[in-house]
Amino acid sequence: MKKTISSISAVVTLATLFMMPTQAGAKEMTDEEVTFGRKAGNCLACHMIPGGNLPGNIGPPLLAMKARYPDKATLKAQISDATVRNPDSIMPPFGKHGILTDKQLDQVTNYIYSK
Amino acid sequence: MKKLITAVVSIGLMAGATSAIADMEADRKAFVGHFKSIQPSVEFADYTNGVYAYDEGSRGQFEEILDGIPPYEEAVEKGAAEFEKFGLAKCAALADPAAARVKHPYYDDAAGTVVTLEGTIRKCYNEQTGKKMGPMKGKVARISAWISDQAAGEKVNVKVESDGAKAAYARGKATFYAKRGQFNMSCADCHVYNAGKKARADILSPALGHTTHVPMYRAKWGSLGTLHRRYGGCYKNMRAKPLMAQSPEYRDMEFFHQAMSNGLEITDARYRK
Repeated sequence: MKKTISSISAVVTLATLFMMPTQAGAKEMTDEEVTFGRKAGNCLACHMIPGGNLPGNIGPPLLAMKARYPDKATLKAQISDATVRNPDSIMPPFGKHGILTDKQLDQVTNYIYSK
Repeated sequence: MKKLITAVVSIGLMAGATSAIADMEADRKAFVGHFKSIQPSVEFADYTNGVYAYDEGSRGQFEEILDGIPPYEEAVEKGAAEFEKFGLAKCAALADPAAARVKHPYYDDAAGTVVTLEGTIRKCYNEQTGKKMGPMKGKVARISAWISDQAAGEKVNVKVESDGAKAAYARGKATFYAKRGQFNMSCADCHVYNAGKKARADILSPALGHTTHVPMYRAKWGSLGTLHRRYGGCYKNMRAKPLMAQSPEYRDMEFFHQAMSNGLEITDARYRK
C-alpha cells in the first residue's frame, strides 16, 4: 500500500510539475526521459526501441513508425488508449487512465515517431 | 463476463463452449493446451518449476540455490516448531499435514465459502491460542510452507463439484481474467497470454504451476509469503488497490488458480526471484 501511495504520489508530482511548466525549479524531462523512464512511459518494459537498454518483448518493436503511422495523431491516439482498437490489448491506456499527461503523450509520440 | 469470453475465445481456448456453467475440467484442459501451444517443448510436469521451465539461464541459478541451503530452510524449520508449539495438530483439519495441503483449497458447502490452507491454519491458531494470526507472512507463511512440504510429490487436486463450488470457481475465474488498475491489465494478460515473454529483463511466469510451490520465498521479499501476499503485489504493480489477503475475492481466485494446476506435483522448491 505504501509503495502504491508512493508511486501514485510520484505520478501526481510529475503531473503537477507538467501542469505548471512555468514553476521555478521544475526540471523538464526530455522526450527520451519520458519514453524510457520507469516511472513515466516505461515503454521499454514491453517494446524494443533503438537506443534503449534491456527492452521487453511483449509488444512489437517500435521501428519505422512514420511508415506504420502516416498520421502522427493516430500514433498518439494509440498510445493514449490502445483499447479503442483492441479491447483486449495488454497496453495500458496512458492518456485515458492519466498515466501520462497530454504533454508527456506528445513527448513520447515525438520520440517514437523519430524512430 | 462478455469480455472474458471474448478474450478466451480469441485465443481458441474455448472453441465450441456453449454453456455458462463453470466446467473446471474443460477449462483446465484448454488452459494446459494453451501453454502447450505457446511453449511446445516444455513438458507438462515441468510447470511445477514455474518460470524456470522456460529459461535455462535462470534455471541454473535456481538449481544452484536448491543445491545449497535454500534461504527459506530455516523459516520452514521454524514453521515445524511453531506447528508443534501452538498445538495445531489438535485441529482435525490439520492433524494430517500432507492431507491438509492436498485437500485445500476446497469449497465448504455448509459455510458457503472457499476454505484455504492459510484460512484453516489461522482458524486453528485462534482456537488453540486465542490469538489472531496475520494472513500474508511470518507465522502463517512458515507454518503453511512446512505443512505443504509434507505433501511434496503429491499432486494438486482441487475439486469443483457442488453448485456453490462452481459459482465460487466462476467468480474466481472472472477475477483472474478481469482487467484492473491504472494499467488496465488482467492476471491473464501477463501470466497466460504473454507467459514466457519479457517485461524488461523479467520473464513473465506461466499461471500453470503458479500454486505448486506456495507459500513462496521471493528474493525481492527476502522472506516467505503466501499466495495472497503475491496477489497483493501483483495488484499494486498494476496500480490497482490490493484486496485484503484472505478476502472472499482472493479465496475464490485461489480456488480457480489452484484448480488450473491440478495434476502438477506440489513442490518444496519455494525459491522465486
